[in-house]
Amino acid sequence: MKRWITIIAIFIASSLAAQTHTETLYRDIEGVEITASLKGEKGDAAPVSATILPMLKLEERGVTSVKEISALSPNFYQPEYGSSITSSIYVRGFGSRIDQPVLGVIIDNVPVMNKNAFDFDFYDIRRVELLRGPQGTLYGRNTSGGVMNITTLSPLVWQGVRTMAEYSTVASYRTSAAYYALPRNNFGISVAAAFTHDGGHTLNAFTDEICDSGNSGSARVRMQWHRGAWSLDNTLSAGYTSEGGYAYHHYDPTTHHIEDVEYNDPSSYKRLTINEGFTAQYVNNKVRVSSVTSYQYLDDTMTLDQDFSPKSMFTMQQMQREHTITEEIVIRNSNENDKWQWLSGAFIFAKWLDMSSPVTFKEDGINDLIVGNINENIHKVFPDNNMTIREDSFVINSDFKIPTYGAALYHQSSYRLNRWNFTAGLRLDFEAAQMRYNSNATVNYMFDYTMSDFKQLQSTFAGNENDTFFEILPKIAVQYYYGSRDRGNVYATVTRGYKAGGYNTQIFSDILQAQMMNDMMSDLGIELDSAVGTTTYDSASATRYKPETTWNFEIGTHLNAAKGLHIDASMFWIECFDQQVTVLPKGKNTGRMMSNAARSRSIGAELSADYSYKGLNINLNYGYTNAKFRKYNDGNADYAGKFLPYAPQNTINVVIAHTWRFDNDNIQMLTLSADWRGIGSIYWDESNTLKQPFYSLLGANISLRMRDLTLTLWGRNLTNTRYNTFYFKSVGEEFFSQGRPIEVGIRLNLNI
Amino acid sequence: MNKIKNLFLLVAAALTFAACENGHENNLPNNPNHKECYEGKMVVDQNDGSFYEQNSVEVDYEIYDGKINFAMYKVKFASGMPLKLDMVVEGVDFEENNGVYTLSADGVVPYAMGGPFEQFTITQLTGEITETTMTLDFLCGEYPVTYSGSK
Repeated sequence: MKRWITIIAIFIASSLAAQTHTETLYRDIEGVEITASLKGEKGDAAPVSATILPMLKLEERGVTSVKEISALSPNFYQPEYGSSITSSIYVRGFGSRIDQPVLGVIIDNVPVMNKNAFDFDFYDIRRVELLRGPQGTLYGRNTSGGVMNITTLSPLVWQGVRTMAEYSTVASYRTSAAYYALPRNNFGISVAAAFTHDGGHTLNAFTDEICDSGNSGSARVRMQWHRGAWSLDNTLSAGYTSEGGYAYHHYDPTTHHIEDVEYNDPSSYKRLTINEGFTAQYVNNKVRVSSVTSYQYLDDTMTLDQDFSPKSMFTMQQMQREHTITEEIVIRNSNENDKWQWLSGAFIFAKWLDMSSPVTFKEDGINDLIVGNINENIHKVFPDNNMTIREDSFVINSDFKIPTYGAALYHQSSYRLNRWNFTAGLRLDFEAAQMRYNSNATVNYMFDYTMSDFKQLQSTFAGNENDTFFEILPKIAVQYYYGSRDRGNVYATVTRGYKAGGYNTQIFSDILQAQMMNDMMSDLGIELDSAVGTTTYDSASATRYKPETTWNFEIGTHLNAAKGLHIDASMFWIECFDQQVTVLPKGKNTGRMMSNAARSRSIGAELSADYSYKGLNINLNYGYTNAKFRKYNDGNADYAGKFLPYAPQNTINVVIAHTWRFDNDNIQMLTLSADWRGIGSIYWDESNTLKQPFYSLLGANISLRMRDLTLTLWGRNLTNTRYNTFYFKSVGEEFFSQGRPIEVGIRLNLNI
Repeated sequence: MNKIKNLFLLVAAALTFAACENGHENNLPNNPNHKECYEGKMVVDQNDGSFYEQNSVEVDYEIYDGKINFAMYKVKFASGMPLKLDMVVEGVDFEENNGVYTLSADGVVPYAMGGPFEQFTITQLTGEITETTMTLDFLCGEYPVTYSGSK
């Protein structure tokens, strides 16, 4: 407690001695940042549904990660579960639990190429722009649901020191510090760092310890230089997280009881990321040429008690090391008043992923999943005899090397004719991927009727796969302006997007498990009539999945309806082909995989309204989605006509805030705000038998600005609503993850 | 009582030793080269007036240390048996006459599922192997079995 009193005292003392320039910080100064708007369309005027969250809104609402933007943008939902590796994003009904995301995340013009790095600490973010609907023409792969453009604070825009400290009732604290300087008129540099401790909120009843606590730290150095027509922008950032997680509650479908989290083997996630992004730009009176080069490094380890139960069944450790290089060149006309606006670009990337995913089968897993399966059949002939495995535990090693290369060319032109604006674009995307795999395991087994000693069995599944993908991504848009361009417009668009194809590495332990059983049978010279030793997928080529493509038809409007009232509204219809759905193999299997098994459609509407009058601000975001399978039969049932699981049908967020400004030397501003966030219903399974009903989360903020010190008291989920954020099956058992409980905190921001 | 127990253990140990020493030393492959196998019908008398028939049964043989070893691949002895197994019969006496092998054996323990399969001890085995045909007639445990195959 003394530590916090000291920190508060230092902040207050610093504040009173400082010059006030917080207002400058929060002023939206679009255009000053010389490397902004690489591809240019301003989201709130372009023919696209967009949510813009400037720095002030992000900080007022306490947004500390991408997940917390859920429902702040209509039909955008990223549930919080698992750990930081879990970045399941749903937009307009579509999303994915694993592998390729539907949303592209771009930080300071650099696309984040691995979704494992999507969940990072938000600090000193100047602007978030979320474009919904396929953005394939300009942004390419994995943007079929949209793009989130994140811009960090620039030292050319603001100079000074920013510090923040926050503490909340779940024993969590966050702190950050940053220095923004302009040593020369044309050179700016910033250094920023942040640390977060999440105390966690879920008790593991087996260990009697909180299982979802964690620490993360990150740092960012940004340098910007400009001279004449040239400008350079370099950002080097690094982040590290070490956390628990996987707070999955066992669900009993007969009693509908959600039990305590209770697993016996350690589960954790550790991740190191290093990102280097360099943007060079040349502008003259005709063209603007930009080049963005990036290097991205990701090194993470996920350790899981994969049965999430007190039994010693099996654990997994997934270690990934990935190097990625990207290069993008964009050429466009520089005069925004030209009737013909054009933009051409080329993008290439190369990723080298080195992954190791050893699965350790422990005593209960060996008995239940392997020996049990075999003995069940053997007992039909030899009721008193058994197959046994000598090892108490054994490891199925799975090593992968997955290089992926891609190249794209694109062009987009817009032509303005009186009140009309016509846009057409086309992108050609090519991608080549390879997977070299080696899964192996060794056990000693014995059939006690015929064998007097154990016999060694070695099973190996190794080889390589190569695939290429080619996509054409067109876009057509028409806009009609109501009058002056400031009044707004109505638009109609047709766009195509896609999620990349890839390989299901998570099914390999299943494949090898089946192969071990088959090898054992072959070694014994027997062949079972029933399906022991089979899995849904038994070859590496079967683990490949193709790209998923979507066509998006949309009409909408951006309207400045009255003084202080801005409205964005849209209606969409999306057809999805070769939909990538997560499939759990039949029976008591351990893996999961992506399969192009479905064809679906989504229709819906979105409404955003922002009204300001004097100190009052009311902000509404509502999204409705009706997303259903047109075709999907997983071999067990036909799900045509059923709602797509995991995506909410409604998202709503209402914020009512009032700000009082004071002509006072010590207190400048007081803001009271209340926000209501509603999400649901969410179906958890393809048969639509389980669902999370619509739920509400109530929050409130009191913010007091005293010169450059801002003190905020905040509360989230004030009604302590219990809700589920995730559901899944593993080894035939069912599990839920639950949302965060009531949380109240205090935050101090200092800008000097 | 202890003497009887010790005697039992001694006999059991001796049997185990014998089984290990004699254990499955043939060169017949687990996964046969189908071109080299005889293929035909196996009929098992169920001793209840019915017969279980299995077609396309592959049988391979070798001559090893003056005896014939043969393997019957993926065979079932009753329709209700939930698995097929490879059965290897070793140490069968034979006589050769103009390329025709005449087989005879009694009390041979076959090998299956990784070891000796005493439950189905082969008795009263007779048979004939030519370059293109193979016939077998034996009791497998208490079940009469006949096989007739060709290449």
